[in-house]
Amino acid sequence: MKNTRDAEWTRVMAEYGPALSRLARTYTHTAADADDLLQEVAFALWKALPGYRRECSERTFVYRVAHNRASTWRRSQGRHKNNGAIDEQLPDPAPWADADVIGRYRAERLRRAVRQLPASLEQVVVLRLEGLRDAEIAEVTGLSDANVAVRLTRARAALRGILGEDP
Amino acid sequence: MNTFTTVAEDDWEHLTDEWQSPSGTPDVQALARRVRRRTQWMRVLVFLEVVFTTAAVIALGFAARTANSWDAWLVVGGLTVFTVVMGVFTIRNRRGTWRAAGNTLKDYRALEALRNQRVVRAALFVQRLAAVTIPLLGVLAWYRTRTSGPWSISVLSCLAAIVYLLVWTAGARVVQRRYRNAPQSD
Repeated sequence: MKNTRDAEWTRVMAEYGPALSRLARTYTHTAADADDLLQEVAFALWKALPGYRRECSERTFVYRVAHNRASTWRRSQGRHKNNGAIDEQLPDPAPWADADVIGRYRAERLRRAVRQLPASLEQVVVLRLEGLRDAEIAEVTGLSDANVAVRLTRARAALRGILGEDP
Repeated sequence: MNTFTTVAEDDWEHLTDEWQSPSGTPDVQALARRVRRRTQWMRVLVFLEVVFTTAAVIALGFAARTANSWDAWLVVGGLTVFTVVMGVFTIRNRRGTWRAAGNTLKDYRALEALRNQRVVRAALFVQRLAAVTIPLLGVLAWYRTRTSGPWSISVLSCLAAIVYLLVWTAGARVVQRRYRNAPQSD
């Protein structure tokens, strides 16, 4: 029984690990905190998996557990948004930088922009950027489909403002 | 001029591609780092506990040699019992929490869960100990107030111990709340 649970957990972590890693990075300010949160999410999934009754898609289930854990973690840490300030400098891609460096720069820049959004928008945006449809986001967050759509529209406008302001 | 991302109506797909560019996957090293940090903190804690316990034992030994009244013996006896109870519990509670059984993610995960469980157990123990001890100390303080006056060593010690236990209990409740939802051993 326990071996089955471990195998299932290992498979889920392998499949969703990169997404959970991005989520942890978005909800934290330092690499060490991101590590901590990621492990807490991993633990939470390990505990929650036996209770998964396939009433929703596995992806929805995993994100729901992860976001609940991340929200709890943020509350317990008493952290406040700080305009995306983190412990590392955002590397400035040189004119001769290759596509990979520029790609990482863009990803990091987008992540910081997302972190500047209000918490109510941040959550739906993260889920949208992870590829969830509006209905799935509604299922994870407990919001109505209409509310999700409204938030995504507002978030898009806010992101436009944030990303447009940067040099 | 922004040469990078701008958000337009149909940009979600483009942003999703940017967002999902490689950022590493969780691995055993990440959890091992976390476990090592916690081990270092536990070592510091043990060092402080050993220092304070040693100081307490020396003080108790000195007090026992010079004790010449019921009051003094009461304080020395009470503190000795308290130190022994806490020492035995602490040693038993930390058993098995120092290192992972192996180097796999599962081993580190199991160790973290065990440590969380023991932290909660310690917090509960402190609260239960206080729940038992505080009424006893209250009765003792009341009795000694009647027999030896309100300013005797034993009365003042009982009151000080009650305050100390109340503060300790409050701290234990905070710790318990913090770790209550953390993953724990089955």
